[in-house]
Amino acid sequence: MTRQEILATIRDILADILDNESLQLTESSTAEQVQDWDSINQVKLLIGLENELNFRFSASEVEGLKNVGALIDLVQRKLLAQT
Amino acid sequence: MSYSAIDLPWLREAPADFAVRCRTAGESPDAAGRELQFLANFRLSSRQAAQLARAVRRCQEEHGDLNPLSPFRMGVLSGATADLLLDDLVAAAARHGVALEIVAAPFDQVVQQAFDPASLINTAKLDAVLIAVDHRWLKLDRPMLGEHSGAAVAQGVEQLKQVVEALRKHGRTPAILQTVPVPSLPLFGSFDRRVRGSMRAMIDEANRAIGLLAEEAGGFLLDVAALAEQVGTDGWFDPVQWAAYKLPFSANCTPIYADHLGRLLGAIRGKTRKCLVLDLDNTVWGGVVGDDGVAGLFLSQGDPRGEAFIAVQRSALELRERGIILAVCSKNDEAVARTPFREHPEMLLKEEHFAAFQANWIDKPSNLEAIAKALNIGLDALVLLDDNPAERAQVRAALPEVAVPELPNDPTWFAWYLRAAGYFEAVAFSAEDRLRVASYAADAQRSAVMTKARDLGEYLASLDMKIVFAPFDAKGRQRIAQLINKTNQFNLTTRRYTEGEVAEMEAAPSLFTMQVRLSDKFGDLGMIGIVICRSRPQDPSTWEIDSWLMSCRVLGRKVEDAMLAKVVSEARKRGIKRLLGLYIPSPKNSMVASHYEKLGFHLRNRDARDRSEWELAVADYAPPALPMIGEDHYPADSNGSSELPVMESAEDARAG
Repeated sequence: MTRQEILATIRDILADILDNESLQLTESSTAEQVQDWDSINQVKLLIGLENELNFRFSASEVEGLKNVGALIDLVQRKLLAQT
Repeated sequence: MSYSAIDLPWLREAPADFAVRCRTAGESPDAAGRELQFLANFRLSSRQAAQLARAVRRCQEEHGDLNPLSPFRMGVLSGATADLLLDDLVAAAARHGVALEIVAAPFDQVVQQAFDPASLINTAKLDAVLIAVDHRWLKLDRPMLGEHSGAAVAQGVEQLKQVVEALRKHGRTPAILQTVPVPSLPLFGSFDRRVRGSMRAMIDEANRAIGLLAEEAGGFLLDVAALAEQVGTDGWFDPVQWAAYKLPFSANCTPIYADHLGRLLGAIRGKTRKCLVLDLDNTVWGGVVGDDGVAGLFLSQGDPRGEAFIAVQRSALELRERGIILAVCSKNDEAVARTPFREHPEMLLKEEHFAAFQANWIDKPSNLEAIAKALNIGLDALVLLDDNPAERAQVRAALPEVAVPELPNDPTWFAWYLRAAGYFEAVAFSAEDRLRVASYAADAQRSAVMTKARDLGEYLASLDMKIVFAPFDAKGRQRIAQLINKTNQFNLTTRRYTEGEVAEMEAAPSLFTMQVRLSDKFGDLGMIGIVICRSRPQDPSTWEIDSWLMSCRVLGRKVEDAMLAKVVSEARKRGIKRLLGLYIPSPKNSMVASHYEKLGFHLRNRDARDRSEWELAVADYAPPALPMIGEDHYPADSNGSSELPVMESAEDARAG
């Protein structure tokens, strides 16, 4: 998956969780900038990504993700480890 | 099909337009409650549960009353992150007849909320408070091998008790308590059960005390320990999701946990189903009694195929013992359907166990309505167990209030599906419950309630049926011979032919033969019909219908109409002017006594033994509209076109 595709996947899952179809997301977006993106919705996003892409995060991986770009980095690493 | 409760396999996959229907639910206020309950009756992903929960909340705000859903305000106190459960709880509650409103306390505020009279939970005027705590909150999350383990259990339960009492005192609210699953962290191994301070021993002790506490305090009990055991505790607990998000159990288990809580809320609101309606052939016994006879049924212990049905019968009897009414709804001749109950030595179910016995050829929705009426209970009190997916679909479409579990192909799982689906959840059990079934005058001789068939046009069109006609051939030979020799009920002449004779028919110039296959959106039903016509030597423009037989599985689908349309069109191609049909009565084929009459034939004569002869002029016949598309494997006519035009497509039938 390219970074663009991962970004699109993250956007779609989050748009669904936040019930906001027109959600705009870039690599530099942070949770603070997006309305309702609280810690609970962050958990839903991470679990949604796990189910969508068929891997499991470890407890340490999901800590301290500073923005969407950092999450994309992590997802890329997880996908790479699968192959 | 799945055989794990975690997948809720007794529910169907949600339809493609689920999200749209959630958004539009409640546009007509009177239908809002029914629509929401309908949408809740699918297997929902967390995303779909969220969509439905939004719809429920929106409808609650806009309409207030969501009849027939009963309102319920529930507080949630949790020692962990409960927020991820809430949408699933609302969705599952709607499935079980409850319009749930949730007031959730912040993370890990159980004690503070309970003891503060002015807290959110104590001032919210709730119907109940769920206290969702586990071994961690009870401080039973590590072994205590000294002599203090008993005290530790007592202390944990005592704290829970004080919370329950505080909620009663300040908010006048009953509690819903949870039992505690044992994490699979063996210390000694099997010996854990025998060591007082092991986690297993302590939690077992705590669970007994929690059960007593629920009873003493007038609260309710959600047996999470039993649920986790069913799912498997390795799948229940997720150490990563606990460490990272403080989820008390795996997010994968949320739908089944929510469903169990939904059942409990439904039971509190009196929504528990009261009556189990059983199909007979291939549900209560293996085989088709009308065709296979009592001796040919699979119903013996020790025989793997028979065990499946014994298990279904035992399950039904156990439910009856606790007060669930039993009824029969089967497409059968009534006398034939009753025979196994009277004659088969291994039948556990007897006629006197049933409060209603509907065996006839009328559609099942009409029969279920008759059962509900006769027993004076609502349609929403019925559960139908039926192996036939087309019957299930018909009942769901016509009567969405009736619960109809999906079933896998392997009947060995039927009993598990029925019990795991939790239609009969209860919050009390009394002597009256056991006596109630007897009060439904279990009269073995009770005659069936008269029913009137309903219009099935739309349902039939929705089946997307495809019918395929072909002359006898080597490929179909074995099955053709089997049908000819096995079919008893829908069989006009009951003439039997060997496989060798069938092979000879394939090339016989004086014969017209037809094998018929049917498929629908649920799958391929295989070969389901046979016609053999003979030209009369003395009158070559007449066909005598030597044999006409059909599998009872496809009754009520206009298959016989389609077969006649095809026979007539082939007759025309061959210059045939007249069809002669014969009905020869047998002990089992009374259901087709008026077969030719229904198809528009005229009676020519009837003899003393009730054999009747019927005639149809080919020129006078006009094919009816049919709810299926046809395919034909006969040689093309002189124009070179393989004709199909007698068939209307399913699309046209729907539009018409």
